[in-house]
Amino acid sequence: MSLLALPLLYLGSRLGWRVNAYLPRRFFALALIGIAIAGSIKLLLR
Amino acid sequence: MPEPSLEVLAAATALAAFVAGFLRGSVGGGIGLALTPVLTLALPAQSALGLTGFVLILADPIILRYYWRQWDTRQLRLLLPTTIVGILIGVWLISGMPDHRLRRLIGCVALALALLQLVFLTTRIRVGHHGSVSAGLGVLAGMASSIANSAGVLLGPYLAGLGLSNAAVVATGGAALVTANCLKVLSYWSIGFLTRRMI
Repeated sequence: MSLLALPLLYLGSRLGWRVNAYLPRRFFALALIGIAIAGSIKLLLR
Repeated sequence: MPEPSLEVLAAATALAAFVAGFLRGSVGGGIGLALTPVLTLALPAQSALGLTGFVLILADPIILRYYWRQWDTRQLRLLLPTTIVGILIGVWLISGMPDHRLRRLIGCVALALALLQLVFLTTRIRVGHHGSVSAGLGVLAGMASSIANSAGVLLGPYLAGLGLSNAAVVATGGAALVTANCLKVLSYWSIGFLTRRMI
């Protein structure tokens, strides 16, 4: 099933790669910190 | 563990493939945070974990192709072997220590590091980065990966804090975690979280 979804995976990766090139550096760093804070809170609450 | 119906599995796989590809390609992480909880609405938690793990291993070569040689070689040399050491320590710890305690430990470390990076980013304080810090973080990221699929919460902000470009952060983190993802999928297969139908 996952192998059949490869075109979607490729499409998502390509879109993500394009978005990465356009993201401002500061916004990118803040997004990573936001993901890290949310992820660590999720770990602490489980 | 009950197997999901074909329609549900197809829809979940399509969603997982697109979202995992987009997140890996754009910010390099957040899949465990954004995708796994959504998939658990339709699939058993074990299936959601197994499916995400396998989709990630399929995404690795695509991401590496897009970001080929854009990684920071020095950081990758430090992170690649140390994440493997961390995975082995993590697997060893899981067998002898309560899972929730390990998750909390990693959550505390990740939260402290993220807040530290936030302070560095907002106040523009610059600190020197010694190789041993990267090596230590590699071990922690490997442990976080094997225990909670959460290596990205440690690696992403750290690499961004080093001043690497957006592409270098995704490329270095992605290349460092290729081995971790392979080991993870093998372990999911061995314990039945990943089935032939999901593949």
